[in-house]
Amino acid sequence: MNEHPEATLIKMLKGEDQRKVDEALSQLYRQYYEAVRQLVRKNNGTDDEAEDIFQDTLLTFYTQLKHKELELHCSIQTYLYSVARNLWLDELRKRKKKVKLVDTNSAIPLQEDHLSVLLETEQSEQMAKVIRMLDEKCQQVLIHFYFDRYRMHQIASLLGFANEQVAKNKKSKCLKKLKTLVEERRHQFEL
Amino acid sequence: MRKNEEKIDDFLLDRMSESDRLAFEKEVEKDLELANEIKVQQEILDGLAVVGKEQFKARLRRIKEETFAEVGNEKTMEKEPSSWIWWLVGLLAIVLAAFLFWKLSSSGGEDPNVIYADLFERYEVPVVQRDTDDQQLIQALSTYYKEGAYQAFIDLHRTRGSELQDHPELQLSLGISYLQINKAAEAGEIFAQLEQSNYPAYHDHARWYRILAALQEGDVTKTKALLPQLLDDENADHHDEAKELARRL
Repeated sequence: MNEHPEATLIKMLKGEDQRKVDEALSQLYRQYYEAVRQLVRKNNGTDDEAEDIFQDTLLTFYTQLKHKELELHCSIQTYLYSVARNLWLDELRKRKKKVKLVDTNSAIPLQEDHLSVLLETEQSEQMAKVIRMLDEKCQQVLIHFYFDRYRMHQIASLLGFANEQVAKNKKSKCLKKLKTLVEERRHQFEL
Repeated sequence: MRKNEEKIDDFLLDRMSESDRLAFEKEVEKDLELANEIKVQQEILDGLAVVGKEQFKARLRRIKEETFAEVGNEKTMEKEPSSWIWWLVGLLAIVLAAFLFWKLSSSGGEDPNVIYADLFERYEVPVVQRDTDDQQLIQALSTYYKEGAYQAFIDLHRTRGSELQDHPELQLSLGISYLQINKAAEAGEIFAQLEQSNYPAYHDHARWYRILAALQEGDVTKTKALLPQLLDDENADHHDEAKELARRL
């Protein structure tokens, strides 16, 4: 029996193959960007703002799938539209604009923690500055492990390490290096 | 040391079983150094999330450019229509414009869609809680409606609405939800049932939204036929809106 297209898309996003993840993200752009653009434009926003909102929406969807094992009880379209709608409402509230939205689609209420991935504190920004001091390879190993939540064997094949153990050692070294850097810069960056 | 690192990773990345997590938490309570190590690593994770998000967004920008470049190419690769087709399209546009002009001037009315957009207002219906009802279900329906999640409201009402006692206010919300997703025929049926119900307080509301459903369908004759009940009774709810609608049709 053929798999539902949405299930295939989710499998691609959660999978190990970078090209398939990119392909899935491209499909999401093709299918759902326009609805979000319409929503933002009809509610005092510009194309650039719609683009930002859509990026944050995809980021939320991706991290929810990767970090929280998100289980959808609605279509991808409804979920993405609901996230985008909440993000744009927040933005309008920040600008103290009228917050009754003109909807272009139907939405569902979201739990608050769905958008928590977008929260950034001053402290995490400062920590990011230290992370950027690491060499490129170390940054990639740590980001793939902690942000993309890839397993070591995936990281090994993605970054061209001989095997899983080599990737594991590299990650340990990078983390140690980063902790040393953090200690050194703690006062400078008020970490 | 490595073992600690792996344990901390599993803990922070939520990869521990419930029993392992509880055991580890107890260990942390007793070991200050370990607790501090977890704190630092959590801060690192937060920083990595910032950098990870930046990289993810850069990747999205590239994907978007490639995606829409492809779409653009596909469009330009489509065969250009011959010039006679443009002549034909122009001619049809003129005929259509002339027809619309004739239709509007002969009926003397405005476009039903415009009138609908002007007159439609979502009715905020407070739900009456009853002791025997499932409070969570009532709450979920109220929230969906309030948040404008009309399809979710309809789906939930369809699957679990029969568990509730009679709620004319929910029936009205259901019809309005159908209107909001442009399913005028379904909305019309719901309002017609509500008009026949034992809840006279809702009859005028039901009639008014039934009129709007007909208007959304573009059926001016039906809209006009439904109007007199509200027009003839000065005390009816929506009497003034009905008068305005009659004037504009």
